[in-house]
Amino acid sequence: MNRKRKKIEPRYIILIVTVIIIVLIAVLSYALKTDKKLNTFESIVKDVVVEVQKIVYFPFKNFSTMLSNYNSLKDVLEENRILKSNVEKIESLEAENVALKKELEEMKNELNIEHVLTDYDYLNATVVSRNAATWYNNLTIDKGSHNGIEEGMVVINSTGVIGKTTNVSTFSSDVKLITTTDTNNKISVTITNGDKKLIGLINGYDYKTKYLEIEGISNTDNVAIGDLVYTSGLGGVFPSGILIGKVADITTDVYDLSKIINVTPSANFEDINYVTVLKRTDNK
Amino acid sequence: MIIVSIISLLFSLFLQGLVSNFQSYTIYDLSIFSAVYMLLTLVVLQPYFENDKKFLILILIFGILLDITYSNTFILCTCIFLAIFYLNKLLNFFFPYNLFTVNLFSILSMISYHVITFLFLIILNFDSYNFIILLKVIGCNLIMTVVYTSFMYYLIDFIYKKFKLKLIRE
Repeated sequence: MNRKRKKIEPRYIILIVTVIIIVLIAVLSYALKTDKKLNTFESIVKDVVVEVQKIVYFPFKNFSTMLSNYNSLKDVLEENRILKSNVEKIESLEAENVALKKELEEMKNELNIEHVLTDYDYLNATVVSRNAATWYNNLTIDKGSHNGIEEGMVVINSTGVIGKTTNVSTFSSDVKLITTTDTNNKISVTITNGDKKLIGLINGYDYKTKYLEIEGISNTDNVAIGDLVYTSGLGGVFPSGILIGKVADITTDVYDLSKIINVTPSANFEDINYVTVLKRTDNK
Repeated sequence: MIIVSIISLLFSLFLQGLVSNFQSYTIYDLSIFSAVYMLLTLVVLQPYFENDKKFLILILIFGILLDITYSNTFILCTCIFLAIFYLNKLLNFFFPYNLFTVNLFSILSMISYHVITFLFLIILNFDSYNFIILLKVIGCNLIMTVVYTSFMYYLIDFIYKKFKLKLIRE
């Protein structure tokens, strides 16, 4: 292969490298800001690529679904028997539900909690891709502002809270997972220990142990391994009552004043294919 | 040749998204299928471009596409790709273009990509991973880097010879 080889002057190389380093620092610090919103160009590009990505992904997803459906067929008979027995209980559950809703409304007013799960509409979405930069803890879903999604909406799956929406474009959105090291992503939580409820704050996620770390619990408070951790509803972003996980390990801080509680998340972050976005009903 | 380049870059862009659905997203559970496919395609394509300007335009377009769609890092990938372009330009100057050297360039480019990202994350105090994890990331990327680079090398070389394409000049 014949190639012309032009010599680049060393001073230009030094200049280019310096400029690139400065630009990279500026760009990355800008990009890591959580409140960065997509501009029109970014939004259009992202939508187009996500739509094509959905078409490309379609046969692979169908094949994978077919395989899992086939695997679950053997359990159908047993599941059907359980479902039949559950159907008989529905009427009594509905009556109980009405009474509980009324009770919940009264308690919300009394405790001054802004949002609970019943204040939300559920919107199901499919994960289209995960972030190429694995340290970023983002994934992309196939629903956007066209479907009523806004920045900062809570995203859950069947096992618990996953994260919140960011970078919303017309037909797609990103989900910033709760495992991110982003300090702006702290979530207020409640630890239920018998009748007592303790309020703490998720401080981060340890990838080695796969624990969420909770701080802000006094050393005098009783917390036991196996206690359940839910969102508290304080802070106004995450509604109360969504399961986060179970207490797995308890230590104290360096001053022996407060507890550091490690929680095993209920959600499996390695296998997220379908998610549910909680849309506030007053956003409709 | 420019059409072949665009198609292969688009293919790697969608492959990046497709593969991400079948692997863990966390940095601590990387699979051996992890790779920056677009970067590897660019490394393979670079010697076919005698016109740097056209290749730089391709890097800009596809770097921005990758940044917007899969990494959300504004133009970070684009800047790293540009830096790696100059590194490869230097390497191409000293070494001949064959399967062994293109794999070597790909591995060096992949390492540069991860090291540069890691260094900038440290500078910006974004506490996401440490040096050991960086080594693990590079290790996990090695296999797929060699496999994909070899695949693209043979594919593009085959198309280039079969259709008697010309190098991209002025």
